[in-house]
Formats: sequence, C-alpha cells, structure tokens
Amino acid sequence: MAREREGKGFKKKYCKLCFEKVGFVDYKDEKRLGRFVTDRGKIVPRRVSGTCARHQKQLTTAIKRARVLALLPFTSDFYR
Amino acid sequence: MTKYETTFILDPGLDEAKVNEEVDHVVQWIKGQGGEVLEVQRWGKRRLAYEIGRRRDGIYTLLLYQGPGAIVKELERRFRLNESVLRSLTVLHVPPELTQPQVDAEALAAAAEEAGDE
Repeated sequence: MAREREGKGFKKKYCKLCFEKVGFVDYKDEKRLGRFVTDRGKIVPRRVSGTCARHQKQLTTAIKRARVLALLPFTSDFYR
Repeated sequence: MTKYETTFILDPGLDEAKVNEEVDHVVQWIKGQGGEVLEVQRWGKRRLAYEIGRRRDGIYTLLLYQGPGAIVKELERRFRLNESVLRSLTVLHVPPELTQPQVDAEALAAAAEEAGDE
C-alpha cells in the first residue's frame, strides 16, 4: 500500500519528482539520480520511493545511461 | 533535423592541447558530414564511479548537434576505434527546460517535512 508507518501515524508517500515538477529525468543529473539508488548502487523500487510510474520509468533509463558514463556505479564494492 | 547529444570520456592522461585537438577534430568532422554542432560542454576531469581500464578519472565532453542520422553510427564507430576515448553515449536530445525542476525542491521538501511532523 502507499502508506508507511512513521511514528504514531501514517505518512502518505508521494512522487518526489512530480513534487519538484521535473518534466523529464536527465541522465546527467547525477545528484538527483543519486537519491534513487541505494548505497550499493541498486535502483530503489517504486514501492519504497513512492515514485509515480511515469517518473520511475524515466528514472530507470536515466540511471542506466548514467551507469554507462560512469556517473553512477553499477555496483558498489564498498560492502565486500 | 533530429538533435543528438553525445557525451564521451577521454583518457585523463592526455594533456590540454591533445584534448582540445580531439574535441575540435570531432566537431570539424561533424561539420564536414553536413551536421551542425550547436553546443560543446566541457565538464573537465571528473572522478569515474568505477574504474574503466585501470583509470579512475576521465575527461568528459558533451556535444549537442543535429544532422543526418548516419552521422551517429559513424561517430560511434570512430569513438570505438579511438583509444583515447574510454566511453561514449549518444542519446536523443531533450530540451533542458524539461529536465529542470520547476520548484525549488529542497526548500519545499523541508517545509513539507516540518508541516508533516507537526
């Protein structure tokens, strides 16, 4: 469900990208993309981040493009 | 005509003059093929998120150009043959006004957080 427990009440998840009114997610914008990957470099699923379908789809392409250009890691070896 | 943007990463070991030469060479080549270079963005030397061929840094350059689609294929082939190019990526250009957020996100998010906590 679109609700997560936080403290006493519930907090409704919302799409952070719709909130910022981003028209198109750009692969060069690694700072914004960085918020949607885990510290291991995985793409955060929609059920966790609350991103809407449209933006999540743009996000995945953008993140994958950024990985090709070594702006974002494919994996992080940090935890090994 | 379609607009393309190509970002490529050059070997960090190249000196300034060589980098300029490489970039100019590509720009001239696109012009020669009937394309038009609209913008050249140099991001300079940046840390790579992972090593490419033992290199930790790369010199990034972004080209925005328009022209016949055949340019793209040949350009990518040339990049692959060129050993000083570590990586390249060509995508269809999206106007920057679309990619920029319309709202100052951080300020609003902070405000929303506080309002939510109350």
